[in-house]
Amino acid sequence: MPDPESSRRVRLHWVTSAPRLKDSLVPAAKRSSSLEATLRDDVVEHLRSNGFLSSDPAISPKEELLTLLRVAVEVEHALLVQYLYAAESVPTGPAGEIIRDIALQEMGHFITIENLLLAVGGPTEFHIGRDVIRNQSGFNPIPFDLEPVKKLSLAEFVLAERPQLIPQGHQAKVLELEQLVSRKMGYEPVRVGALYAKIYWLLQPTDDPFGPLILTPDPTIGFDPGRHVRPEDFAQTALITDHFATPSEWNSSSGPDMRIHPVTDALTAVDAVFSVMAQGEGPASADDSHFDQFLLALKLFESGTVSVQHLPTNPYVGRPPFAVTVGVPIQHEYVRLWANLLNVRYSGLLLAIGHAMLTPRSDPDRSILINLIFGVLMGQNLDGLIGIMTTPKMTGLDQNSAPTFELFREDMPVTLRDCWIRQAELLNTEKRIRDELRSHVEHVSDVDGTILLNNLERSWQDLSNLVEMRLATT
Amino acid sequence: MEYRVFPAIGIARIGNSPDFFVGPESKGSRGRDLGAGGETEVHDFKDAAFRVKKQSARFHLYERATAAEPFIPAALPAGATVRWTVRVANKKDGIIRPNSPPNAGTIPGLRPTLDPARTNRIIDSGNIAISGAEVDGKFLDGTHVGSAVRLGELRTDAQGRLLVLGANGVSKSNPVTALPVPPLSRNDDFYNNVNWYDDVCDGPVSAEVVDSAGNVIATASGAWVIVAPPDFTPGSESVTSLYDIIQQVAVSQGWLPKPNTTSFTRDIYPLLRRARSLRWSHGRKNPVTGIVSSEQNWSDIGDDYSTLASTAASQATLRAMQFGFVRQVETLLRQYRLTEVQVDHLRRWAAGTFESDWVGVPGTTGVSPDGLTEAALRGTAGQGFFPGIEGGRILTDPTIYRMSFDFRIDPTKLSPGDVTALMAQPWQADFFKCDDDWWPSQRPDIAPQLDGSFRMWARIGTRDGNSSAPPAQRISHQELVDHAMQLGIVTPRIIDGVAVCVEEGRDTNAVGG
Repeated sequence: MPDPESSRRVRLHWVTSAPRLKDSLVPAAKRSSSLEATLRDDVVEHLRSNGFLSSDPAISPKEELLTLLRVAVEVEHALLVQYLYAAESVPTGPAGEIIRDIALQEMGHFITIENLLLAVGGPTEFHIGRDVIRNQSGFNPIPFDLEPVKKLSLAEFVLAERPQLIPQGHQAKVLELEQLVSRKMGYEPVRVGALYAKIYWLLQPTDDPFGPLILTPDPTIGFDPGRHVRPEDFAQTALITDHFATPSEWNSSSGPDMRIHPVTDALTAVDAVFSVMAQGEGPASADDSHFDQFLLALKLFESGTVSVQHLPTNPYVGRPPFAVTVGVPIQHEYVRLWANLLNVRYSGLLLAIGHAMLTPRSDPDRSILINLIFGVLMGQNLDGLIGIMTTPKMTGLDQNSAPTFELFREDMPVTLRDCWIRQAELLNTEKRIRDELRSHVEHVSDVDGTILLNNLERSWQDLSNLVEMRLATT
Repeated sequence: MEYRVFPAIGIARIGNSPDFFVGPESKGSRGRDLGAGGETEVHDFKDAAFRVKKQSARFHLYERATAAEPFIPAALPAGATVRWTVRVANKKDGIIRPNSPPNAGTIPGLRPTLDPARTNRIIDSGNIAISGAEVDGKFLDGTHVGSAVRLGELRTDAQGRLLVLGANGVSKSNPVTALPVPPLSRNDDFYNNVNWYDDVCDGPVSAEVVDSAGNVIATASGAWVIVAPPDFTPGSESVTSLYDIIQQVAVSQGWLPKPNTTSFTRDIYPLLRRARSLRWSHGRKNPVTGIVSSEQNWSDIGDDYSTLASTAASQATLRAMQFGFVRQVETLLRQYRLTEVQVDHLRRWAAGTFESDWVGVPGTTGVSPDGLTEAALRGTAGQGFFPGIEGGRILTDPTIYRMSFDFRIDPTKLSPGDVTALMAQPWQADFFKCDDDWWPSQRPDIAPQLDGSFRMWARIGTRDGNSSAPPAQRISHQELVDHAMQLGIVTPRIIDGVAVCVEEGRDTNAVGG
């Protein structure tokens, strides 16, 4: 079917402004002390040394910004899944908990970027994809490989989240990791922060410094003079506030520090971008940034105290992850059914996030959907399915059994009725898979599977009732 | 003569009632009322005015003549008395608070870092001593920016044993600032609310034997007291408690042997009972129908212990299923992992390689030194360390314990207030936010009613904390600060011969029915 994204895709290309040197290890003396100044220095240094994303000058800043925000959604989405997969290989102990917490924080970034898309383009711009434009942007921080925890995968995570100006105490380690990834993988991970720098620049109302980061025009690093979205490019405030995600709404339970920022104008937009950047890379003194946390996980791994469970690289049941050349198919029929069920619930979770944001805040369905996302779909359902793919029963049937995270569809409906229809499609698929699982000979002796399927059916029934009612009335 | 204080870690709890009970001291007990006619098992957790009774931690002095002998209750030399000394602190508002509770593996980040600019926000009782029998009125008082804050009270019982009572459950901001009410920014926080303090605390407990002339003739190995928020669900137990967590630390460090055999009565029955007990407190409001129900998984856990204790191969599927139901705690509750020791026991049981020693539900045991420690810590929440209820991840740090290991915190390694410093500020904010799937064994999600139905526990008037409600219809942080003590307690009762739990003690005049 035609890709619904293609009509609004903007061509982006990478401009290398200077040879890529190992100049990221800037002496600490050159570094600024404040968080804002440190991040600013990071951004400028990075763009100067590594190049920047450029778009067709014929398109408007608004279109360029929307495209970059879609790329950002996909980058956060992809990292979230990769981190979740890696965490599953260390089911016990602190390393797994560290990585799982980061994955949840990436979800906060994901939702904040949805708020940015809403603020600039309105509610029809919500994007839930992962592989639609990320790979074509040339800006993928790391390849989308589902890999267990190992030194190489942790090295890639560290490098994707690293600041341009590496704190002195970590410089030798980062250099070692850069050399490792370059030698083993033949590439150097791209920092996520550069994408956000360009987004920040476009969000500034003028060339004058604005918000927490002091950025000034510099065409050599993509900060083109006068190229900013205008105040009138933002959606109407009433429309934004009718849909935006707030922390009290989306982070109503305790858990890792999720940066969910409502965005209504240029100032709240750059504040939100700055916060997401800061949580990834961290200020010079931070010890809880993703960069620092991944370094800690790596340190634990290298100490030999992390017990890693074998997981295959890039398992799949439908198709290998996009742009992945080496994947391992799951072949046992029973395990394939479970993998498909996981894929349905994963797709349903993404749909529910988009569906909730598309639902006006005044509509009671919105709270119901958010409650389902956090109370049921994410924890009880998806966690349960992720866990079951690595039980001895499953890995005994198929050595490639592992969470697959394949999306059935990546486009987001733009009407609420279409959302309910898509929900119904997924529920029907789930019921079919559930029936097949129960009739499979392997199910008789699958205790964990029986318990999980019963739990899943209960939440399926709740959601089915809701969908049925809404389809009857919308 | 060697003297030692037990329990090694005692758990007291705050309450707004002047009444109190003594926290659990033996297996099978939920605590003891100290009545005029003697001690009886605690029956009510609220007083007649619907106020939450304080839970006191009682500390006992034991002695032994040589290391080869068991500890026995101390029989002091003629004329000698015990001088107890306690120092507790609340450091929550005086430290550099991270954005969120510390992650696993962040040692030494599990310990609080004092903020030099906020030292006047450390509420410190200083050393308070007490001795003699039936003494009271020794208060644990400190200040927060010059304002007096009470952290508790010391008393002694008729036998001169120390009672540490929690304070009155007062949480305030100083200077007064309203807790953020949704929908605001991320200042609307489950964890950090600057300038706020509460009256949970912790610190060392020491004891000296003093002769009639006032000379110290012996110093006991001390203990630690944690004064925690109330347990609103005495009828539900956490599957993994702080006892399990500290025990796992000891096993991992080689301080305790790794168990290699499993007794059904000792190791499996408690896990089944605790997991099953969650049916009284864990559940949710159906977002579509609005009906509140208990999580079915916990009711699927059986209580036919004679059958479950059978090693017969014909019961293998039953055991495997029950193992699966118990293990669902890792999926149905958040940030939850059974310990390796627990999982090993469950695996041996499921495999049928365990000691089938069931002769009926064990009765309440007598008081013993190690039993005091186990009973105190078994009543706590040992998972969901985000940040937790009584104590958080700091208790997984092996460097805080005294050697030789007996669950005792080394007072040279931790300072008063360190265990609770990185808990939620104030505790009610976390009770508000964690309205589902976190610690139902202390903070119930749901409340069972006499007619068998369930209602949301945190409800005020027509509103509740359920996140499926639109923000405007949810209760706020401030309301939980103001009204938490007026909510009900999920209380164990026997009704028509059946053991159940029922919500009791709700102050309906204040918070509605």
